[in-house]
Amino acid sequence: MQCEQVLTHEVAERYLRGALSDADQEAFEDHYFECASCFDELENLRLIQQALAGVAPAGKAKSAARGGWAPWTWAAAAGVVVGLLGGGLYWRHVSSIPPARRGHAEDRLARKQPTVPVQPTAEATSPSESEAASSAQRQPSAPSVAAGAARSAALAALAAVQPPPYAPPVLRGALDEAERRFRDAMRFYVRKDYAGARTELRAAAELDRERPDIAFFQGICELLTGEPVAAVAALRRTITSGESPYLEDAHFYLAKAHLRRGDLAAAASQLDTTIRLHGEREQETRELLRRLEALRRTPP
Amino acid sequence: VKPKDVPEALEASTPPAKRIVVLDPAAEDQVARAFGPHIFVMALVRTRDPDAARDLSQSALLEILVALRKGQLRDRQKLAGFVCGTARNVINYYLRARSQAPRSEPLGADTPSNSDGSQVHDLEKAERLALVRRAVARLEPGDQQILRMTLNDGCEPAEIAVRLGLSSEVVRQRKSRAVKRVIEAVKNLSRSSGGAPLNMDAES
Repeated sequence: MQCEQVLTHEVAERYLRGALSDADQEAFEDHYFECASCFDELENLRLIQQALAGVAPAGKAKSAARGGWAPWTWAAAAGVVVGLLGGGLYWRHVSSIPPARRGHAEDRLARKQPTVPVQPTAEATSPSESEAASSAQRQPSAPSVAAGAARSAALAALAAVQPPPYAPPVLRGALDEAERRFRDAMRFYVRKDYAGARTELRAAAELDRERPDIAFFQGICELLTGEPVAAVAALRRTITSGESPYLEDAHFYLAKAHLRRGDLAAAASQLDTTIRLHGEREQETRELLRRLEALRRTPP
Repeated sequence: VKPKDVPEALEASTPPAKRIVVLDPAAEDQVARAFGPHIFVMALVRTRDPDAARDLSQSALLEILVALRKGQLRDRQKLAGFVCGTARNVINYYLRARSQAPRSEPLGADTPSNSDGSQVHDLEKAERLALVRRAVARLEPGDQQILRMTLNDGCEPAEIAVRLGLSSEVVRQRKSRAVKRVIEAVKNLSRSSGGAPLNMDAES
């Protein structure tokens, strides 16, 4: 590895984030043990990372970054308008289908969320997701708007999230502030108050950004409260924190977060990673990936 | 470019058989000073646990010095690679053992944290971190957020660009500029506070 490569590919930064492949990680380590300037750069970034971990985020950073509305805000607003139109048509279309052909989940999706495609669906069980997706895919001859809405419904079903259970650990020793906030958060979580839990988890994450359990449940709560971008960041932190009991689930829910953002390629990649871990979610993930690939093959 | 302060005792002209003799305590201290920070960073990135990283740095350094005393380094030019490889083995061994061990309960805030054994070095590090904190606090909030999203949240520039309504290129430029500003500010703060010169010469 050469110094120029380190600079142009932001290798030091990616190394700190744990975003390098094993081979690149070793190559960079071999390099910085011999290169004082690259090690200085790495140390500078590490200290900045450490310093930022102890600073509360700036509340008005978004407006400081650029005045006015960001493009995604406009895109979101446009999405809501399109969703209202498409969802209305979809609602009429679904209403015309006999109840026997509709699953409970599709019915619930249509009743609860007729307006916004790929909207956060708080909880859905796997069979219902499957019914909703397959039911939505059963309408090949529907008009294009309804087909689009059906695709959105199928995507929403794929992106549906079943919150993972949380079992409080046995208390031992004194609690630090991050742990205290985390436990407060999880009290909200077990009561299914995900917004309350999210607030506490964000505070806990500010105090300790390296704990995978805090980052993981923060990601889940962000996902359940309609903040997929924040969910992606938190779940990535869980993954970059290395081996933990949350690793497989973090990849799985990161895929869900990408689905919520409409990034199907990134979602497929995360599902693929989840499968390769050969954990408890392997079968469920294979099925989800199969349905996602089928959806990606259908024209938008 | 080579790490600073590599001991003269390990010059290529020194016959391998003599190394055990010439690697006196001062030379050993130089090895520890030259490579200790590298090993600590490697351990920290791989374990994400500062306490474990400090312990592992000590274990790795001990192993390296023992190996050097036994004359196991045959080519002085390969000292950095030798240290890097040995440290990586120690860390990987720890990680494998940890993944096989049952998970322990967190002990809480009153658990004493380990030190690397050098109070002077700890003070230097603390001072340097304090200066970086002050420099980071002087950044614009938007630049702070870009750095935080990059280094702490693990976001790619494209993702930050979407969230902040900027282009990816602007995000990269602001990130790079912010890092330079922190380094410059630390240098200035270091000079104005009359502290020891800091090891922050790199202009990334």
